[in-house]
Amino acid sequence: MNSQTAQTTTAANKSAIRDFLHQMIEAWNRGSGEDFAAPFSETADFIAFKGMHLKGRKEIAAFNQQTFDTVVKGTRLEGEVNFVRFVNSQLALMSGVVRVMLPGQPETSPSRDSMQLFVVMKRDRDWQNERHRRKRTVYHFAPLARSAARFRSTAPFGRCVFRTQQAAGNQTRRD
Amino acid sequence: MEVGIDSFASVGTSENGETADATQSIAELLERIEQADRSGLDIFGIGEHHRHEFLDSANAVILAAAAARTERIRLTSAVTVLSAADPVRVFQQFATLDLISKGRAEMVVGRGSFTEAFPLFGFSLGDYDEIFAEKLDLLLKIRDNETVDWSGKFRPALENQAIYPRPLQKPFPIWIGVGGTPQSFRRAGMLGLPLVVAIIGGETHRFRSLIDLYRDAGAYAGHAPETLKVSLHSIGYVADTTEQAVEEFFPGYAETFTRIGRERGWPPVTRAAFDAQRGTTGALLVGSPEEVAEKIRRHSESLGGISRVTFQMDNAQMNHAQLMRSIELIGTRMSPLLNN
Repeated sequence: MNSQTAQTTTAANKSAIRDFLHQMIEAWNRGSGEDFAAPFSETADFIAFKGMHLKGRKEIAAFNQQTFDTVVKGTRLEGEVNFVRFVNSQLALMSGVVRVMLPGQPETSPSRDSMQLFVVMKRDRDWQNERHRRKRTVYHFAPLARSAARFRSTAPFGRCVFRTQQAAGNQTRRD
Repeated sequence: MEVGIDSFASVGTSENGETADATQSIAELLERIEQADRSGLDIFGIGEHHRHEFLDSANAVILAAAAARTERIRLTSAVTVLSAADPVRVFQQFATLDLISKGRAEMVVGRGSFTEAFPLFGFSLGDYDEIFAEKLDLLLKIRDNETVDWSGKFRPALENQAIYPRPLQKPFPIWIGVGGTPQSFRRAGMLGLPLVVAIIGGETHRFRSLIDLYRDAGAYAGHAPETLKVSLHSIGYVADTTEQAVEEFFPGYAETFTRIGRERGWPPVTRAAFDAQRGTTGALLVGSPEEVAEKIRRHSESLGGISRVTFQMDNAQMNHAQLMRSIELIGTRMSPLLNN
């Protein structure tokens, strides 16, 4: 593979991976647990808020549908990808920041930003999200994907908790 | 558990049953706040209404007078109808109260359960929730920042505006007062603000799912559990014996809530309904110190733990002497029983 082809491939991979966060944000704003869980594999690990460990796309969809219908009903999610880093040709990390907007809230404080970290793995020809974690409380999604990229989580995330300041600082590290 | 009193500054009733004048009513209210301070109670709250039977429309003024007469008790609104107010002015008033009281001020903000403030200050009830959300956003921004840039729909924008005075307490305590609307519980949790739940009827334990929603929303938003405090506000009255409390409290309670019920579509208050509310799971905290302490303990367990309880007792046409005695009993007998 020549350098130009390699660059093109890398850019395409990054774009595919970045789409996962956007898909999840759009699913949140539609209130669709099924769409939210769509990027996750059948065996994904998802550590929800309060430390609840969900296993697989179905559980992730059901749990998030309940959350959309109750805890975060009426809210909107905004966010952006900070960076995508390739560990090797089959494994990548994606960092993002999201924030929950309450109804009637014109804007939210940067201190309420929540950092998301995804581990994505290429399986067959598609990327799959291996793991995803979120700063603040121990709330992690474990995305994975189908379609353009397919994520699969292989193990739950640990209890690494990112501080708000770190999350805010990482916002400057955009691809 | 902290224990306190909430008052709507009702126009008082004399011992012979006649209505007191407003000057006397305010003077007696201030005496009751002093009594609460002497009796070891933790907090005294003054509501906000714009009706002839309540004298609390300028609650910060009453609280400021109380601050100058008391030493230890915390002083709060209960609640400030934020939707109908200017958050800048409200903050200035309570920041000043905080300075006068040397750091004993708090604020409970809510949408208001009566509606008269909306036409009075030129707001539409159609904006009931949206206007509260926006003004709460501004209030919190002012609390957390000395200089504010802000714009919204219901108030002129602020551009690099400094707001003074700054309160002594950092952060200044702001609670959210809620009734039974899930959205209000969710909002308080998401913002990580402590919650005052007004349960003035029905069975207290039925609010557990809403309080769980508050705590889940708070956890979801990353707030530490210890910041997600719950305070219970209920109608109550304590006398030396349960029989005395019931005999003194029921007639005025029935009259007041039958009258309010006519405005809100509630049925007239009956003795049977009152007795049911006074039962094991009912919301009314009426009885002897021992009985009421036990009931609050049960309520706390059923709600997953509360950190504060406040008694609303002066809208049942009790006279000043009865209220003074009740406050003394709550502070010197009920509260120690509850906390030991």
